[in-house]
Amino acid sequence: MKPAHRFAIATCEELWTRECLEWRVSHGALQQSGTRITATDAADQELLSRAEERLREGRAAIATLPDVRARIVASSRRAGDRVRDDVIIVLSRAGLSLVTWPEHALEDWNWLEMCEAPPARRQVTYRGIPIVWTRGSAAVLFHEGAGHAAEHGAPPLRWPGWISVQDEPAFDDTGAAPRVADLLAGEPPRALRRASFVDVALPRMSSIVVRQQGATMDLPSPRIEISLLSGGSYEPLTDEVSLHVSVAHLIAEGARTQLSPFVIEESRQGIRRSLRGATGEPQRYPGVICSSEGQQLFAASAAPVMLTWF
Amino acid sequence: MREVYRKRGRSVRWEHGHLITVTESGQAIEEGQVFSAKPLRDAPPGMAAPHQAGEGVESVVDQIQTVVRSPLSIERLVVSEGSADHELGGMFWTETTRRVHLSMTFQRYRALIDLGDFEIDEIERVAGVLPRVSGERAAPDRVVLESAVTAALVPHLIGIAPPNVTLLQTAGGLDGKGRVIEESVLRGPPFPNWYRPSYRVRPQLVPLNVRARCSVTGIEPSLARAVALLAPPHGLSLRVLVVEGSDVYAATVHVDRIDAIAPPGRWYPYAAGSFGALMTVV
Repeated sequence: MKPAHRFAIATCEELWTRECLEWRVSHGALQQSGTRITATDAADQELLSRAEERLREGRAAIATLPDVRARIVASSRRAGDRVRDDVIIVLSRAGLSLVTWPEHALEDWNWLEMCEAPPARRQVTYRGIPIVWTRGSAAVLFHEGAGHAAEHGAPPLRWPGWISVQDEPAFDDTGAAPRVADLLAGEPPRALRRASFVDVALPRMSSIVVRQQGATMDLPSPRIEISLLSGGSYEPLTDEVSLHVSVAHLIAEGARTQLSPFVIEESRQGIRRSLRGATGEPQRYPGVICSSEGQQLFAASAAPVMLTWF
Repeated sequence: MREVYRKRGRSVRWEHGHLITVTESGQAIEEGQVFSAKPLRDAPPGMAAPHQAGEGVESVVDQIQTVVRSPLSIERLVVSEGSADHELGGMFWTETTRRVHLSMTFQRYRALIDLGDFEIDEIERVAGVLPRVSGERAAPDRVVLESAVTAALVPHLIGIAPPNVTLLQTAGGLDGKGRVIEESVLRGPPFPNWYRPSYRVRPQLVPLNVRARCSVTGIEPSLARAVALLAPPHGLSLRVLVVEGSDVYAATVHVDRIDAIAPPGRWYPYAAGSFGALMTVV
């Protein structure tokens, strides 16, 4: 039985390329009873004011970034008696992009500048070379290989005992209390999320946290270091994961060479077998815009430095 | 120049077991390089109240669920019907839309069907043959793409169509700025008409309601038929479900040559609209 509930949202969005080229305001509310949803673009003035305030935070964060291309999306949502505010910034530079928050915008912009590719980049085959997932990027590996697999009901695998992958939501768009899901155990996300007031709330990932306990890891050489991905997917019919790597370096004989973008295509079993170790606490990954089921939702991501070998 | 566009509409959509009724209105302004959009609380005089729409949605869902049954699975089904009133520069026009998106699966195969109406005969056809798929094979030397497959391919041909094929924008209706859509030969940008799928989206000049024409229209009935897409088109590569005699298999067709195109038939919601037709490719 679907829980009856009300939901309202206000969203303010701006696209900046030196100046503001596009802005959008959206607001609306829905009432769900059983499987029937009635939605209108009614305005909740409190939510609209809160979203506008968050938008100003985003605007302030990019104001000092030179020649910035950024999309700011600020929203405030109400489900039951709970209210949640969000603001994310999509930064784009030299063909690369990432999702960040106002407090990390400067740091991430400077990092994107460092990632600008040299004219000639080396191509490698990733198989047979150890891969070190840095800057929290292993969270994307598990977003696809554990999170989406769990959403599709894939049977759990026997993952190493030193790793855990959880979805840790802060909000549920039906007003229910948010609950943690153990994605490696095959539990689908427990928070129901929707992109807007016209959408069905679905079990979707909110905040992926990969942790290690008792793992060890040496830094092999040569190795590939991955630090940014441009996308990924999980194919439920074949249980295979595709990951589009946009920033990676080959570390060999003391030299660090940037690699051309490449695609990792592996089965979920292959990912499990590839795990060799990890070290440290979860590091913030810039973030993932998850686009399944026609709804684009931001998912926070964090993972320790991790070693795989395909 | 400042251009103000307003839209008011109602839609009914079935998705994930829910029936969603949405009533909304909005305004978009283009001024120089800047585009803005926001909800519109008071529709201007002359803009009608939202029309009733959606009575047929649940009926179509029932029909599709009856046709797509075990051993097939419905992976995703979205059925919608909407009506909208538009206003730009004192001009008013009305539009109604119907859409079906279906992905159905059998074992490791997924057939994708997108329709711009509620006639489900193609769904029935594909649902009838998909359970007989016997595996993957090389594509036949010559194959006839059926209407739903051609419609997905045609937008990818713009700018690269071979000399014996002409791509056309089909006349009829109004575009996203209320201008008449006229017939024109499509060679490449700039295109003459505006596409505006939502008031929240900046309108773009794109080819609308595209169809392909070839001097040869006869289709050999004995050739293998590609009856459905098994993945979205990747340029001129199509992963399709092929029916050849009593055999049904999956194949990847790389379109190197187009030998014949029958007269256009059904309209499909690929890109900004395209027409399907039987097409013989090599």
